[in-house]
Amino acid sequence: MVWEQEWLIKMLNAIWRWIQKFSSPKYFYNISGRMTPWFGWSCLLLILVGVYAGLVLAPVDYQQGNSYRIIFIHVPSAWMSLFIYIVMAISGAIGLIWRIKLAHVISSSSALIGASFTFLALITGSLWGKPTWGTWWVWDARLTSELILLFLYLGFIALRSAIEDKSSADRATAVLALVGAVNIPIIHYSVTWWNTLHQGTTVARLDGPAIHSSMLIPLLLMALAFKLFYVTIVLMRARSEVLDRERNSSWVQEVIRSS
Amino acid sequence: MSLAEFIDMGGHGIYVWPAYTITFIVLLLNIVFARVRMRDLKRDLKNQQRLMNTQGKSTNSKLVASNESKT
Repeated sequence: MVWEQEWLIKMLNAIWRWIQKFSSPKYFYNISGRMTPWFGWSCLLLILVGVYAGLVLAPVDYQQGNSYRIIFIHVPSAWMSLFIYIVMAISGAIGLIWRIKLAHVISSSSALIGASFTFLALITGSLWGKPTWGTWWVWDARLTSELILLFLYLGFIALRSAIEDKSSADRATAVLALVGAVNIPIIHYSVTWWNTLHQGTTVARLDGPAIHSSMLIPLLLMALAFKLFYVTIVLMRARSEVLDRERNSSWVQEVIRSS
Repeated sequence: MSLAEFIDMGGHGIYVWPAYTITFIVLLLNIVFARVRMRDLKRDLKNQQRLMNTQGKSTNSKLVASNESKT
């Protein structure tokens, strides 16, 4: 019993030390610089394979014809729009509670790429809606809540740029991200709770995906590619943000001197 | 299937191709913005450093010169 407790404490200590080490700005700057190319190049490879599989290899849909091929960018974009917002809200909370600056850096570096994916989910959905539903846009629950998500991202960016002091901006935007997080389950369950024109859940179903593997595989490839894309961009942006925030420290001066 | 048929996609090409094009333009812009931000920041910090060096003691002038020769 005592032995187990000691072991647990040792492990928690190790994890805590790792978090502290990783969230030290200098360590983060160096390690993310080494990681970014790996994420970036594997993302490019997955996109090439995924696009080829989606546009060429996957068969035509018997109901929707070729327009359904938009799914391979529409659904991954929509997933990322939710995922990135959740990352922003959680890292905002971590930044507020434990005062870890790197958490705020990750949060603020996610906003633009999150807004981009939300915009893409809406625009590709619109391009898919026209041939499928006969309209570019309807005010149904899924589309409206996704549009609200875009406004949340834009509000986050606007609020950040409106507050000069970094730590005040960190706190204000973290609160905004947390409050806005109520919209995330609404978007996810909108197609279940309300009778929407948007089709229901296809992939993440309890009885397994309702989609053939020839279409599911390119979809998952693109989803992974977009996730890697997000990681690449957020690391690139976070590195700049860290340099900016630590600009007066000796290690940044050293980085600049040797660049 | 001919290339023309592939591009037409049974009439749906006019929706599918713009969707893919817009997506990759937006993704590329994200890369460009991230790189431009880093480049501008480094230039800004470099200028700041140079300014501090020239304002400092005249013994630092060698350091400034070596910095300038590097860039």
